[in-house]
Amino acid sequence: MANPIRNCMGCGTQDDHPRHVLGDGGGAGVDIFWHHDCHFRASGCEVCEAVSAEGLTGDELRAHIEDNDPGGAVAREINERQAPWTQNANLETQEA
Amino acid sequence: MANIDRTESKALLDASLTSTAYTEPSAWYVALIASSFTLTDTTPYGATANEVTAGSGRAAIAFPAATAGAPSTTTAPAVTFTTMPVATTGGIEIYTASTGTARRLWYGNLSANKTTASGDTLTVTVTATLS
Repeated sequence: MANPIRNCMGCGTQDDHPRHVLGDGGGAGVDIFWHHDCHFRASGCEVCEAVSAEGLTGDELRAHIEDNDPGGAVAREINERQAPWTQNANLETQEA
Repeated sequence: MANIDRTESKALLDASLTSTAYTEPSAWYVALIASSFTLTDTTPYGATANEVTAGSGRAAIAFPAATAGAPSTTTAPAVTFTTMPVATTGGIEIYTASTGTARRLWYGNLSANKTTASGDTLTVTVTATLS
């Protein structure tokens, strides 16, 4: 199945490259699509920084993501940073 | 998100209206659920083929206290999932564990389905409301 063609809020390009999809655009009511590198440059998104660190685009970037999940650790860290209860959970894990 | 799992509803009712103690959750994780399934209060879809599995797994989340005078959370925490599969996500479920279906707390539909391609990153915000 072909990958969908979508725009990029940053550079305006339409292509089938991987995107950071911002559901409801932070309250704007519509989904907003960014190339990972564009989103990092525009907003400093830490996840997109990690995903785009190798400078890959298109199918090469998709393969890199599928093989290595380069943004996974950063996303988990950000989610946990915003969830203070995980600090206690981590401590318990370390003590176990 | 305005729906509470039936078992959780019973626990909350018992805690509120009887002397039965309520076991407070100590962890909260967001699971993504495919749009092709209708979420109900009796059937958790997490840890089945219906859960949309991101490379980063379920997302830890923390909710602020509810708004004074209103039965809803004050702000909408954002959670991010990486290495999404080709999927259409229609809802979320809140669990007390990063895997499995041991205790589902809340569930609800997204405001609109989220269609992702392989390798996408997805960020959604979550609010909770009692009505």
